[in-house]
Amino acid sequence: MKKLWLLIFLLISMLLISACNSDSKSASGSNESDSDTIKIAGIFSSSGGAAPLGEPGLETLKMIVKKQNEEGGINGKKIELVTYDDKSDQNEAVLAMKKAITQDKAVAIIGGTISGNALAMLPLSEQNKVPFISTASSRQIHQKEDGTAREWVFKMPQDDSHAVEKLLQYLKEKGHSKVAWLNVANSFGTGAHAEFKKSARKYGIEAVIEDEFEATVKDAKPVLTRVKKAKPQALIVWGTVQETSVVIKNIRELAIDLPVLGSHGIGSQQIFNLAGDSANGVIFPGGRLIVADQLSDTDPQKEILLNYKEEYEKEFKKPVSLFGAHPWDGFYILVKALEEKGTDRAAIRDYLENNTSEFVGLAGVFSLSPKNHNGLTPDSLVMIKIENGKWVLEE
Amino acid sequence: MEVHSQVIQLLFSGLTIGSIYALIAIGFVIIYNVTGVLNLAQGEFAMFGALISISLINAGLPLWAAVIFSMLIVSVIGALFERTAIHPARKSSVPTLIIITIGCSIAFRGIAILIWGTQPQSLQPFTDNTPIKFLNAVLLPQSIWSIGIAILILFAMIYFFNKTFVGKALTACVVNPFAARLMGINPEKMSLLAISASAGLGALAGIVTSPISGASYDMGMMLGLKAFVAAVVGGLTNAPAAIAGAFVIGILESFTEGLWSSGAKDVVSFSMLLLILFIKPEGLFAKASGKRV
Repeated sequence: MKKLWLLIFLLISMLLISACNSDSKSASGSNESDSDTIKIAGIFSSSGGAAPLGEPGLETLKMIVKKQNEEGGINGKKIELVTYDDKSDQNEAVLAMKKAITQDKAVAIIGGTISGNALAMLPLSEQNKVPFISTASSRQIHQKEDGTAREWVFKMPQDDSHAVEKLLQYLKEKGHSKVAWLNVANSFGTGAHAEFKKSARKYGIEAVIEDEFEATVKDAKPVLTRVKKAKPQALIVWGTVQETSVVIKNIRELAIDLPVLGSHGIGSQQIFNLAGDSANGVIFPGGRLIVADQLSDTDPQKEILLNYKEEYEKEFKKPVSLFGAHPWDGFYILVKALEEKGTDRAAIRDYLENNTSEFVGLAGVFSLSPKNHNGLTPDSLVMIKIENGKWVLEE
Repeated sequence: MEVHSQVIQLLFSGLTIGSIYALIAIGFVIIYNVTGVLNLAQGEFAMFGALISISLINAGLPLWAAVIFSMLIVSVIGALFERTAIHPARKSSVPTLIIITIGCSIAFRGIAILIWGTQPQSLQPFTDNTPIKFLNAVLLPQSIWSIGIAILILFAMIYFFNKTFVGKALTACVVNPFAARLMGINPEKMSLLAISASAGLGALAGIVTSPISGASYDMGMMLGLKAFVAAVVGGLTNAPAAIAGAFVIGILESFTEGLWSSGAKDVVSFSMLLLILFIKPEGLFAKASGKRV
């Protein structure tokens, strides 16, 4: 009996450990003060689990601040960028936020690579009345529970609901009204599932089967046999790269001959390595950045997208990523406010909220309002098809 | 899809998953029997095996050489693990030793992040992976590899423990370490041997898995956990029983997912574990009494 309890204890402790393992590396930060400069803080996860997302963000911000300063700064004042690495950890993120606000006295803060960190950081921005431009994606970052906007927080990436709506629009256009919905069993997948359930009827789309697969899925064929029996017209697999690759491979193996749609989370080069030929034909809603060269010349974003891509790839010798685009949008929206209103935080906030309309950014065309601190629409995404290791814009 | 072909498909999936659990479960059983320790870093050996073989193949080695070298390297890691972590603490109580293995598993994951980063990687299937049609269900050649290797290892284990001198010596250490020592068998050497062999087997499990589901630094945790459940359900004291347990868990999960819901999969397999622990704690397939191994 004693052994039995030991086994149960072990099992529980293993589960607990797996739920809370995080990693950390060394911090970086710089401290200088000069009254002739405008101080902005950037807080990104440039090490730890979210580093693949945080690094391009930090690099982009450093690159464009340097460029802005070389071009004369803002109304003759140089921008001083203070950066922190939150090590993909919420506690570190909050500490960095505190330092940025109380010690550095930053005029505004850009960052919060992942939603968990951004959500942990935002109460400090609200309490201390400092504009915070978040580069993480959760809708809760800019919206309170009751749907109104948070006073001091703005958010650059699309909401998940935008991606889901874009997908539903596409399905409607193609006349697929009966679909199968599979999502990964974590907040990314369940959040999108809730959005799907909310909006599907609006587009006349019905799910004949809805289910989940775990992020560590090895073989999704069992659940796919049920999908096959439900006879849908299209199959939606909502997950990030690794688990989506496994499910897509299984779909091909079972020879399920249906259109397969993915999430905006698979727009990374890795899908080509992990899913190989199975990925061919998969369609997903994604940002314009990866298909910038295929956009029509009348697209207002085309020029800045291509410019950013060229500058970033020249500077850092690696492919551009959408996660670097969000700080770009945040910074240039902020620059406009700084040019007009100087360094008064409240004036900057009011300007961001009321005077940012039709701002052409990398993620889309932003129109902020007192009610909406994100300002993007589903049209900021396009449908992208995977074809032989390439992204192809789907009309 | 008709019901009978669905059932066959679910059976194939269950066998594939079961064979992966089986390869790791064997490692649990061998180490548990020889040292009395539940090695909760067993899944991490699979992770090392998968990632090292991928790196070797990317460096230009043919598949067979990468598999062999990767298994050897992981065996050495296993031996180092035994010498530096388990051996110095061998006089400690069993829970202490188990906690040490948990600590090592976290350290292993950290090392893997430093070397390979957090991005998942993949391995090409061993042979041409065109699905084989069978009564309207499909079976993948990679699944045949995985199931085949598990069955091969099963027979190798039976032969090893019953017919070879080293196997007998290992068994002797379990039955009565004191008598074994009197007969000139060194239990400490046997512990080293058991842990490095299990590490090599774990590596093989990881290599077989990675064409199916990819490989990443955190793949070991869930694999280890499920294999542990499989080993306990089958019988922790007996390698063939643990393998049978692994197939039972694999098939159970596959049918739960295919006929009911994916969310219920873990509920069913962990409930099965609790049920077995309460009703038949020695495992489904183990003999109620008698010697271990």
